[in-house]
Amino acid sequence: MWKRILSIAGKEFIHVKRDKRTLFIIILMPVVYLVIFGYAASFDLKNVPMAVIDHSNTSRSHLLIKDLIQSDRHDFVLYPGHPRTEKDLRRLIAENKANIGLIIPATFGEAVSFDNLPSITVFVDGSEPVIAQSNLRKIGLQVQRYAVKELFSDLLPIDTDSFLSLVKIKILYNPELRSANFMIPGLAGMILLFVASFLTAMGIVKERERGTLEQIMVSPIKPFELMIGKVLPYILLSFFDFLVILGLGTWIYKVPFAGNLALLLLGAVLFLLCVLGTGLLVSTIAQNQQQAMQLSIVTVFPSFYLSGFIFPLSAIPWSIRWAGYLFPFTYFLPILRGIILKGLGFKQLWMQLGIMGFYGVAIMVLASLRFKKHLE
Amino acid sequence: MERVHRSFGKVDAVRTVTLKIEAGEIFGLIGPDGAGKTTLLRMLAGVIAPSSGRITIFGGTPEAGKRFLGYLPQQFSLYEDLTLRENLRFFGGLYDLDRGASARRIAELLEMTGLTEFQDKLAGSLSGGMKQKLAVAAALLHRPRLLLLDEPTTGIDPVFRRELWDLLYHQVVEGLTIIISTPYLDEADRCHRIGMLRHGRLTMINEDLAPAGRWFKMNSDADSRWPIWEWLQNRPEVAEVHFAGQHLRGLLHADSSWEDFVAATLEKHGRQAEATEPDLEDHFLLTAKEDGADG
Repeated sequence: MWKRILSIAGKEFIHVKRDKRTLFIIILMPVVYLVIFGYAASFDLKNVPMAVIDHSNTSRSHLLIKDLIQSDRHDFVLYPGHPRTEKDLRRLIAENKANIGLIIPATFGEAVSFDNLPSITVFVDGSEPVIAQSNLRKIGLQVQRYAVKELFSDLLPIDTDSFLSLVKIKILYNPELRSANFMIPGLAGMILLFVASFLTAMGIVKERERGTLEQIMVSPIKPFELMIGKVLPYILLSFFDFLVILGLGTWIYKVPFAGNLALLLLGAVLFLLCVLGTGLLVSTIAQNQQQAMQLSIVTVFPSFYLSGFIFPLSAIPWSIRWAGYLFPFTYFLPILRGIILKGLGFKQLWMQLGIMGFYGVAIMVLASLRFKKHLE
Repeated sequence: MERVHRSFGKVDAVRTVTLKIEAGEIFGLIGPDGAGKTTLLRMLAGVIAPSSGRITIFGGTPEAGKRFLGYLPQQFSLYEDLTLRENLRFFGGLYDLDRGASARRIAELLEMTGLTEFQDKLAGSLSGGMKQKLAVAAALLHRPRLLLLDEPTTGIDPVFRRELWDLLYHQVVEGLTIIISTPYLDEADRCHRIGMLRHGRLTMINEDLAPAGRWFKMNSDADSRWPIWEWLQNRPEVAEVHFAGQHLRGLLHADSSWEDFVAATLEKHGRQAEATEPDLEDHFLLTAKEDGADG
């Protein structure tokens, strides 16, 4: 039995070796996506150009501007030109020369009292909401700190330092809010999904398309031996990719690994069961490679959008959100992030693991039965 | 130890075929396209199951017989992106050959088929004839006792055809049983027995059961051919007549007069019919005719 399974698996490896397209998907794609998600698709913004109109031109306004620009996080950079009116600011933002505009009124330097509170106006480029929110948050925080420290110390008989320390912010799990930490665990899971599901389906369908299936079925091989043999290489390859991404993520992108590796691997195995089953199922439905590709897209892409990988689940209305729960990746993602970023354990993740377990077994059974039937 | 097989019908494709084949014989299966030859072979190979009836191979089911069976389908079914050796090694593995024996056997078969120098080339780079020889090598890898060939020489040039048959004969001498379906009657001639499959029904062509009656042949040229044919068609004593190349061949009814017939041909057409021995094609066409209307 094992000899036959290994023969099939060995042959499949040779096919992969000789097929440039498949090789590309297995080797190059993970690396490319790692670079993209690790570096390029970052939501971390630095050196955002800010245009300032300072009508007051006092030491107080200068201090505010200095505070905003010289924070050691390099959030903002002063736009070098000299805008004079609001219209100028709007124009600069429209032309994308600045993302933030600041107008400091002439009264800013006056003595502060409860009747006469200084105000500033901030313009933010809202055409990219994610960036806008990030900028707003940063500016809001900075200005409030400044306000408490510099302005209100005159008004209120409080120790501003202890006032500022009233709200202690502790950002857990990803203190710098790096998007690499957010993306890479999910990416590892996506690769597993893609390679194990798509390539498995293609591998089996190609066999049928070539017409060689008949020659195989004439031998003493049993259907399940053929199935396992066909699937084995893709299990190994997808797992390899998975570990590579996690490894590179931790090493190059410094994604912290907080949790239990064994539990993560268990989750990965269960997830693999689900996606392999999906791939097998697709192979029994698709008549040719093109159909296999289309079906795979249908089973993979929704995972991209509805699993919480990029868009937070809570932001998706329930009328659509329910669909995401049909896909195994929606359960694997919290396991990935939970273990890698939060160090969660079995107690917190048992439900996702359990659901994937059921899903995996069910779909594998269904797919195996169809597979067997299909050979006849 | 006879290899006995009896099979009945899979509706529409093969109808009520009853057949028994002895070990060590070459059995030929002829018939037009769509007659069910491929279906029958696939049933024997255990790839599809008959809708009713039974198939016995060496005393067991086709499933059990798979390890004794070699099969060559009509289309080339080996892997074009694998080398010859990789292909053979793969199929060896499917039949549970162990490493050492496998390597020796592969070398032996490559030698036998004259493909040794190509062993590390991709199978897709071979010509049609060589591919077919490779397929035969793969089918013989596990020393099967029964070999099923589905039109193995279609599209192959005569040289390769002969080499293939030499190879097969050699195996038969060593005890192999062969069932071969072929559209070529000259190939069918090399078989011990021949069965004709038409619309799913099998008729054995047995030359010993030739009908009584004498076979004739008549020469003809381009101008005379059709008139002679038409005339022969309408003659009461002619049981069957057909073209054979440029000439006409046919069979007279048993109770008709040979002399009268010959005289008539001479008188009407200026040439006389000659006696002849029937060949396979004659039998084939006669059987086809006697099968008559299909239902």
